[in-house]
Amino acid sequence: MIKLESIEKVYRTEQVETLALSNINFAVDEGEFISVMGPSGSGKSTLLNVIGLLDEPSAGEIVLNGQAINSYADRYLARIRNEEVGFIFQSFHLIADLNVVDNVEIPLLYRRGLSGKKRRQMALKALDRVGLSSRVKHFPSQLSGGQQQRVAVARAIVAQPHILLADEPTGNLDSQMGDEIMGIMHQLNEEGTTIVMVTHDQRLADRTGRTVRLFDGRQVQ
Amino acid sequence: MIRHLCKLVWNRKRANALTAFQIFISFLIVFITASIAVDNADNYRRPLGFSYENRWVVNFWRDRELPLDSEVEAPSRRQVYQALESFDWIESVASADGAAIPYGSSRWGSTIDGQPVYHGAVSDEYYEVFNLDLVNGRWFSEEDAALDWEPLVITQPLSEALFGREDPIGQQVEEWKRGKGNARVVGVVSDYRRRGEFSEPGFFLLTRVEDDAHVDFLVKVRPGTPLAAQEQIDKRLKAMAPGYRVNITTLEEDRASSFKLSLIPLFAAGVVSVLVLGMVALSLSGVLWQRTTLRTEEIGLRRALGGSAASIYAQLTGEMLVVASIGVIAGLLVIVQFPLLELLDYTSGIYALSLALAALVIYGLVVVCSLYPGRLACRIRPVEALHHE
Ligand SMILES: Nc1ncnc2c1ncn2[C@@H]1O[C@H](COP(=O)(O)OP(=O)(O)OP(=O)(O)O)[C@@H](O)[C@H]1O
Ligand SMILES: [Mg+2]
Repeated sequence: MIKLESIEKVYRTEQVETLALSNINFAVDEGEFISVMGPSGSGKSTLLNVIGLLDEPSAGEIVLNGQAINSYADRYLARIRNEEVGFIFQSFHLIADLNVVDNVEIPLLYRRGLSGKKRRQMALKALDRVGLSSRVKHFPSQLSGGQQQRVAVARAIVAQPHILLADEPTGNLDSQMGDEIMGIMHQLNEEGTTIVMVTHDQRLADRTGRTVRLFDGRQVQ
Repeated sequence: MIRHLCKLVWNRKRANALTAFQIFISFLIVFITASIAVDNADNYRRPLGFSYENRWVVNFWRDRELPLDSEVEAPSRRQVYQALESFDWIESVASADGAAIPYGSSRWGSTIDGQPVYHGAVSDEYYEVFNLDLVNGRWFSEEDAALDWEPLVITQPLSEALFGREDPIGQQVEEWKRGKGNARVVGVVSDYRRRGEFSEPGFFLLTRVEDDAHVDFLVKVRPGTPLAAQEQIDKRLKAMAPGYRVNITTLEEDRASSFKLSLIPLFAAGVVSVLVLGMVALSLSGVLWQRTTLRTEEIGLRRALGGSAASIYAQLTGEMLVVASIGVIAGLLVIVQFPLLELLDYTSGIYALSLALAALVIYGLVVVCSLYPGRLACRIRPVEALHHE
């Protein structure tokens, strides 16, 4: 499902060169739920961004859902991101000027051949999944943190991606709301979605299939 | 996607209202400019009705400073004709009162059947000198002097306005009370737009000039006659009547200065339009640039969710086009009132074309103004945009 081979990521600025990832090799099988742990600055977000094709690795190979990523042309990446990957971020990144259902519809806008009616139908279904059917016309500012993150989850799954990437999805939530989000993610995983989740919380990591540990950009386990 | 854009614009209506208002104002101004330009162009392509190349106007008049009692014999019209015709580079000579001289400034007008109609009196040779285009009936002739009614030659547009599809020849023009009173149409010329190419189709009526009227002389010179030849006319006429003054202009010169005068409104409107468009362009680019910086997070997010750089560019431009459309539609609603209020009396064709041009300019401006901010937006890297605080 996901295969990383000798991935390396170097950030170069005028003064410094940071080796954010070095010689990363691992594979995630279809339907797996894995967690990525490591101290702050160890490259967890960088790794997730590389897997999600938001960032180009400096070296190495990525295979997503059987497709070797051999070009980093903008349009091609955009299509793969749209079709294969769903993202959940630590800060929810909802668009404040759009209501809940319009926010959830965004990934569908970048997919060809979907009617407005179909998009709306899919968005409502995703919101139903996360238990927010009663809040579709609310604006993000009118929702609690946990509800906002649930909207973000709905947005990540609305296009039915094979892979869900979550970067500390519960980092900004209290433990009860965090558990809610984790519950939804486990449910999605049971239905076949492959999930890679970055977390600081050992308790959450324990509930995943296995854990990849990073230290200073290196895989330690 | 369009519905999505409209939602974004609507939900940010406060931020967009000023831009829409600016577009509204500039659309009105550009429309007015475009309508003047289209109207001018529309008139320009119509028949002028006469030829102006190698035609000169000779003014010949008694000097006002001459004491009234001085014994200067006024030369007769016949004598002036003979003097002018004696030059072998003058092909033909005619005379007319000031109101019939092409590009001239004086004019006589009256209202016939509710139409403002201008008129001038001309000699029989006028037809040949100006190469008028007779489309119906006949031109004046010597025999007309013996008639007990007044013969008239009118332009085709006037004929249509007065008589519609009916044959105008022999029709009486009741309102015409000059000369012998009872007046009838004897001929129709295609047009006679003596105020030049940019003037409206001519509602013009020609009569035979009376023998004792003051006239200016019109000469058709052989092609290639140098302007220096005017000197010879000047000398010969002055020799004939000392104390008289002579002024000679070519119709080509008169046409050029009339052009300048006719284009002043267009020029003025054009200057205003350019200034307004310039200000709107600056403001639009500013708004767009500010938007891309304020919305970095949104843009990064959209990229992460599958939006390509091109789609982000299209979205930002599209939003501006939606905002512009609000201004343009508001402008349209105002502009359709103009004919109802009889503010502008353009034909619907000119109206439609001017509207289309104005819309094209406004949308073009929006697209051009989005180029640079759009490129900035495309360069936003999603990872950085989403990098949490
Ligand atoms: N755009 C960038 N430019 C330069 N260096 C960067 C950039 N992004 C990340 N880095 C560096 O790469 C390293 C890994 O960063 P990353 O964000 O992946 O860490 P992380 O494990 O997610 O940390 P945290 O737990 O705090 O989120 C850090 O040393 C960081 O300073
Ligand atoms: Mg991180």
